[in-house]
Amino acid sequence: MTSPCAASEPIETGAGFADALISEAIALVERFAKTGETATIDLGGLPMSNRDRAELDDFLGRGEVSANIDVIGRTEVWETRFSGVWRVRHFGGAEVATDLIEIAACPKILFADPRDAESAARGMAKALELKHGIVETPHET
Amino acid sequence: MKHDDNLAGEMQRRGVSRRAFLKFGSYVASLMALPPSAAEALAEGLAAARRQSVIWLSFQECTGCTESLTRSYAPTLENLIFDFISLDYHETLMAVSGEAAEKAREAAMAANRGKYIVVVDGSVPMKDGGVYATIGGRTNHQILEDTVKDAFAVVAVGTCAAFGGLPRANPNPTGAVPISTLVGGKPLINISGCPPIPEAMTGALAYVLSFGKLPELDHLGRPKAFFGETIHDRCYRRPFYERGEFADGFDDAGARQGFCLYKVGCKGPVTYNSCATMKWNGGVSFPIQSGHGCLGCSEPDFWDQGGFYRPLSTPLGAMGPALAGAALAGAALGVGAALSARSHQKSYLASAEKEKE
Ligand code: SF4
Ligand code: SF4
Repeated sequence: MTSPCAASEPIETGAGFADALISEAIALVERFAKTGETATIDLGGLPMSNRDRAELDDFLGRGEVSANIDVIGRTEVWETRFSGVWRVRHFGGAEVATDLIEIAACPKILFADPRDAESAARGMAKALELKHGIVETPHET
Repeated sequence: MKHDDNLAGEMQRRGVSRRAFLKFGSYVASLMALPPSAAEALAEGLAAARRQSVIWLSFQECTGCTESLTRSYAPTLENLIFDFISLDYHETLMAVSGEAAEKAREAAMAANRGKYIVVVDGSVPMKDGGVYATIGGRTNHQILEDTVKDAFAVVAVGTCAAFGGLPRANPNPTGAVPISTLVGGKPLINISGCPPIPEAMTGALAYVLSFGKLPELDHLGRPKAFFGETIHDRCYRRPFYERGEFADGFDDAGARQGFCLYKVGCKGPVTYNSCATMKWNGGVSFPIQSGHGCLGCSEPDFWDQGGFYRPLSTPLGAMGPALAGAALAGAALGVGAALSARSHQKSYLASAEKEKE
């Protein structure tokens, strides 16, 4: 049965979330500057309206660094116009799956893990052997 | 695939770095409202875990739960859970059938004694010796007992498995019972819903894999992260409820203005689930946003609450005392409205009946 009731959109008034989050971020950046302690704010569970989100995005803006990561779908990372304040947005398909503000020198997801590097070293050595093997294999004509 | 390797090793061989675990950890931490710092712990736990053997049993059910779980909206990310588990038996999804399928189940049980997870959808008929649902000549009850005895944990997926659901609705012709009554002391998670929200299943399984223990559960065995608040707690129509602005029917001026659906039967105030925040179909909408009240599908006996279109507080007789209390406490404004709504309800139902004729 189709309901004759008109579907309605959630109310799109700003709830003042952007300002509250910005104040929280300021305190965390001050702490990071003093002690080096990193922090993450997860925007996912907050009852923010689209207007709150747009306000926050506008305020934080984009700074000097941005990166795209291609791991189980897309991830976008950029530094905001405020040094040490990063946005990390993970996508699952076309949808935003996780939306974070990270206060750090660099978001963790950008670092290569030493354990991955360990296997990368082995992989590189093998690739080099293979390269030479392929080069040294005489052409059969 | 080498089964003796950890998940990080498996992913590495496929050219996927540990960033995948960090991303998945962030996703699950966010879903479960864990502190963001838990993302790294989840990632490390998953990376170090072995592939989890899962045996999926389907009893009196409609396959809606499997449909829900396999049609996730964030396929690259959410479906990663299927890389972390080894689905060793699932009648709908497995290629083999008949004796070969039963052998696969027995082999998985023997190889992972004490470590495998049994996921169950559907309730179990107990009347007349359980004859109303048999597979390969064995009753659902026999199969469940046999499979669960060496399991590490049991996950009852969907309201039929968690609380009996539709098969158990009055007059319950098959004597259907929920899984919780048949698994003795085994650790059990109920992921109720008709169907359940796929993210709740993904989150609960990822938590068990990462930390080797069950997430925090409510008094009905449901993860608090997904069932800790009512639909009403997080409903965007709540300001209308607070102001006493209710739709009296599905086609009146109030309905068109998006007023609260309490008087047309919304069960949101007594229904614990995440629909209002996670929504359905990739966050597109959920029933209340589409103009229909919550049916209360994640609660016990939701079929027998006196009618989906009856306002909550009127037929309290059918509810358990806890639910009835919650209804009264949560609906102070709505009670009067509900009483006055009865006449509208009757006329709406009568006109709907007429339309059918
Ligand atoms: S009664 Fe239903 S529609 Fe009204 S505010 Fe509560 S959950 Fe939303
Ligand atoms: S809104 Fe209510 S009836 Fe609908 S899926 Fe969610 S809990 Fe079930």
